[in-house]
Amino acid sequence: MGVKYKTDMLYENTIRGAEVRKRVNGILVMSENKKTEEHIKVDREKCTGCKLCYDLCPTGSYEMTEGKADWATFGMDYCGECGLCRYICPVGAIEWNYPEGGTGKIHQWA
Amino acid sequence: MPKKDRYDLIVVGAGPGGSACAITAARLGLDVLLVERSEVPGQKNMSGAVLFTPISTEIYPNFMSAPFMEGATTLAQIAVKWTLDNDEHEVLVGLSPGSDVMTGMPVIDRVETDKWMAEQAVTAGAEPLYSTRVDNVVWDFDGPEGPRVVGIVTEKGEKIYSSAIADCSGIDSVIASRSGLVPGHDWKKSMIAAKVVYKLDKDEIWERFGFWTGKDGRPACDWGVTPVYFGNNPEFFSAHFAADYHAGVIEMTIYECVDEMVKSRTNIWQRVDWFEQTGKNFLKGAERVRVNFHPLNCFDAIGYDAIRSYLPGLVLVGDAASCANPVESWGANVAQWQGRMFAQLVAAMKKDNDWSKARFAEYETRWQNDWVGDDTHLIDLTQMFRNGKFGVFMTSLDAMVARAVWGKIQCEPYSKLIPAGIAKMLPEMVPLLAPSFLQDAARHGLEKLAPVMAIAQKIKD
Repeated sequence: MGVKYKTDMLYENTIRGAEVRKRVNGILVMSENKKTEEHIKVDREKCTGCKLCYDLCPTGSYEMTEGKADWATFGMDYCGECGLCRYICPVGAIEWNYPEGGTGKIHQWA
Repeated sequence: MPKKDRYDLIVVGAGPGGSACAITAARLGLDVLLVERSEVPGQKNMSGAVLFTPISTEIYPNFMSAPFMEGATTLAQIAVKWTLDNDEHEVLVGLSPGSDVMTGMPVIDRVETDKWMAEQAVTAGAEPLYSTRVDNVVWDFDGPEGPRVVGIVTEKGEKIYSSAIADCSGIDSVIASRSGLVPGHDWKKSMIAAKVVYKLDKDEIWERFGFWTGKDGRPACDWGVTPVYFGNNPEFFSAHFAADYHAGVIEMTIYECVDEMVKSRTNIWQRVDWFEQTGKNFLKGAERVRVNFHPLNCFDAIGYDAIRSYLPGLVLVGDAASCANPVESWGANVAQWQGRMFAQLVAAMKKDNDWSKARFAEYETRWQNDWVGDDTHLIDLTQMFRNGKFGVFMTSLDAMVARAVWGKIQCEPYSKLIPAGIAKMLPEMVPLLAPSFLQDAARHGLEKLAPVMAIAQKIKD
């Protein structure tokens, strides 16, 4: 009964980075108040380049630069504040906080 | 900037729990500050698709005349309709509400309702402090009863003092963890949810989701026709559609265990794609208008007694206290009721001028002895979700639906499905469920599950 996906098949077809950003563009609504501080900081010394955050981030906020996770490039514009990256980082390289009050993603009628 | 330097009650988070707490406190004459991280309440949230009319009207006397109630869809009861990969076979499995509070349930969008609720609280006299992130609590270590929470610290480092604090800031609460109430968040017990909102012509929604006009003239659903759908779950995730005729939207929510996401390295957008495919009959011609992502407790972490919900000076309300269940979509009601309960308690504490630890402990006793606590002991599918391991349950439920379809038990209500469908899958489920099933059956003496209990007992023996 039903479709049984194979894990490896999923991984090959997974959507990540730029592809995800293309999807959330326009439907992920950001506040007009700009964030002034990066609420997520990646410790690139600690980062082992495992790509988990890059693969799984639902808004494509992560890229890989020089083999390490890079949030700063897109995160300020794309982060959806879900907290997933903090949970999954196996080496604890992600310092996470909610963005400043009144900034960040908003959820409103289109 | 807050107007005062001291309050009777500070409420952190203007969601359903926070606003219910603030309005109740304000109406009882307390000085209450309602703090919210977004500019406008309702901007940062997730699920919570159903409100219970009896409790909502008790908290907000004008609830029935709220703008979002006009043309809102009501549920007579919650039923769950399984879809098998767009297979035309459909089976109903009921999540039976077990309490009088669960009646006349409007399907809502929290963007509208949270804003309205907070407005009501402010009108009643609560002081709003929006666009403010709360980073920590203030401790007093020198009190007669030992350490006590006496205030909050905002993102600007500003301290605001209060006799009592209600943490209504939702799952993964910063205050709950920094105050030490919730020891470090276990990501293996977390889920990420994606909520995608689609716009669709109202008439199409009416047609596809099988609404009828209820006694009050509003679009309504009953057994057999419901806006809540679950797909089957090939890889440990769950999803449902909820349609709101009034708003002309369909909301699709997908929940996935972080653990499973890591194992399969699957981005949640793949699940969105998959479920859109599954529900293509409902979504034909619909357009994605909005999306958000939100952490939730994993099914096996859900349990209202999982953590302590109070410290001297601070209590946790709703999701912050793990009182959330994505399957039910009614966590907002639990939060509302807990918030109201705490506000009433604070009013009593002020009247008696007794802010002792024992009074804060009373909060936990109160909600555990109310329907909120009782809700956790219902014998129904939600209990299965709560007690079991997520993956096992998803697989088991899949098997159950598959067997039910296989056995050609189509479109039968829950009561008829129990003897026929559930009995078939009991051999798989019983080792997992028997202990809690029997325990709760004994506790409540529910007769409707007697046939199942008999089989469960037999297999267990």
